[in-house]
Amino acid sequence: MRLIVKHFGPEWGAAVMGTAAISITMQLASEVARPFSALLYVGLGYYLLATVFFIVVLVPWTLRFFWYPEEVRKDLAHPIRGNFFPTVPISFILAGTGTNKLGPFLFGPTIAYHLGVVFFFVGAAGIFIFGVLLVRAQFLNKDIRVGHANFAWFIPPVSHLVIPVLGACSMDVYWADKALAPVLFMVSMVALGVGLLNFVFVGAAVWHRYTYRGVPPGRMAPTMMIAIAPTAILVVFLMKFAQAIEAGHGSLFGLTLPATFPIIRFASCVLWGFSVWWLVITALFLGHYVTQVGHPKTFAWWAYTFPFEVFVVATGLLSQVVAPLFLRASLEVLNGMVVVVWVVVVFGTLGWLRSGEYFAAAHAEE
Amino acid sequence: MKEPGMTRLGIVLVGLAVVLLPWCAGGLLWLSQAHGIHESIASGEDRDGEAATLAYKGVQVDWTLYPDWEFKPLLGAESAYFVFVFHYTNTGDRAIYLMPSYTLASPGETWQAANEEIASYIEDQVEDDLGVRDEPGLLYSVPAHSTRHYIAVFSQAPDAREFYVDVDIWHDRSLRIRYARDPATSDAGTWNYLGSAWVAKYRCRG
Repeated sequence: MRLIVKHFGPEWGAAVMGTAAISITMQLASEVARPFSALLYVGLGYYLLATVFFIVVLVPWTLRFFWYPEEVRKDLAHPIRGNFFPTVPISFILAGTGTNKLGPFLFGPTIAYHLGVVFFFVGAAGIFIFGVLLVRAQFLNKDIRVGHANFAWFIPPVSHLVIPVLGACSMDVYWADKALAPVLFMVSMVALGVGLLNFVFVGAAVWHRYTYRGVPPGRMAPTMMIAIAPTAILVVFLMKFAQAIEAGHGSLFGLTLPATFPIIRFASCVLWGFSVWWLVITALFLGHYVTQVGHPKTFAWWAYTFPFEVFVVATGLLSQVVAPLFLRASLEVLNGMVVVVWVVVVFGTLGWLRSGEYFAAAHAEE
Repeated sequence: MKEPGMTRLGIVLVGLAVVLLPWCAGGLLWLSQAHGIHESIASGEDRDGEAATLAYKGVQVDWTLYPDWEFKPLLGAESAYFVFVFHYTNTGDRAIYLMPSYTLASPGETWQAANEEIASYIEDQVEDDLGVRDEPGLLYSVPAHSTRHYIAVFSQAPDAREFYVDVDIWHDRSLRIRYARDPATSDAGTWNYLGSAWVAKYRCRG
């Protein structure tokens, strides 16, 4: 047990993320047409499975802080591994989102919506704490090099972007006209500012690396998919915020639905467009890695799941307001692909565990 | 270093268990819903032939109310809901976009917005009962001379005696629909329609 905890890297939260988001893609896919309505219950199944994963991951991840603090410090300082620490706080946020949408079926609305808010504050606290620690570690690290830059650096900024998603979702389902709404709003807006601007800054650094130092080695290949997530998460936030305004009886903090919705719809389309474009880029480079560089089986394959799934969620939400026929059809196809990717990654992870690499110090350098 | 233990067959079996678990769990939950183990359907209620359809700016509004719709979560107590199915008819010659929002208010209770989650769990039964299709989402198109339908669900306080629902689809006015229980003339469980009215609300600069 202690050996497992010692080697339990910060990246395991990605498995929870990659499973939890499928519950939302299934829920959205179930709304498209009657033949798909049973997918809502498959989404509930993924929610339950993600809950099991969450508990299984949270225990050793937490124990490592107490049993092996030196290992934790080394990982936090590492220019690549450190970026994966926010995956567990992100899992809290995703737990809250899933609980808001699917929890009422299991526990009833009151318990689900209150539990969602608990997840919001716990997840937000974790994300803010790790965000500060990781920037501090990065700026003070004298050994960091251009070659360390990779799309995994997006994880800390992206983690801030999921906070307003749950904030808006919480206001949409219940809290829009309650006393907690201003707190949810302000925490969400602070996180949105942090995430949005860091996405721009970090993106520039990573683009610099890819342009002047070439692509990272094959074990880092899946991290390219991460770049699809920030703009997709922003689409999800914008759509949920519009729904929160609607739930606030058409007006939230002076923002009215008719006034804000045209901007929200326009911005969502633009941001979704970038995610589509980056998906094409990732597919091209996947081919490059598989045929020329190498694409070994690693835990990093989980990077293919959550970013792609949040893109599908963004597609599903956008289909409710623009190009419904095309986007709803796309949603069903993409939802199927999400399951295929997830299945491949699950079996790949089991194969990786069997190889014994779990107990090796896997630090991908340039 | 190879980790002793799992064979290839073991990997396949564990993998299959993990990937099939959500589908099996979902199937069990779906079967329980399909057989109505956790829900009861209240009888539909209209307005007894009263010509209560209302129209403004080319949009005609009608609705069906299922009062006292009972929904029981898997692990929680049963609760009653008001289930409205709004029918929007575009009487104009061009397609329009609707972006409705709904508010329910009852004395002693805070206002509440429509509950989309409960609506998604019960919409199949509602659609089957009425023979309509619920429109998903925030914004949807109503073609010329066509009708679209939208399910709005509100939780019901146990001792609720009267309520109203504001339907906001126009910029300059809302439609307020009133209902009340009248134990003097009907069973305690019957909700009576008290009428509708146009209300003007302040909406931030107008």
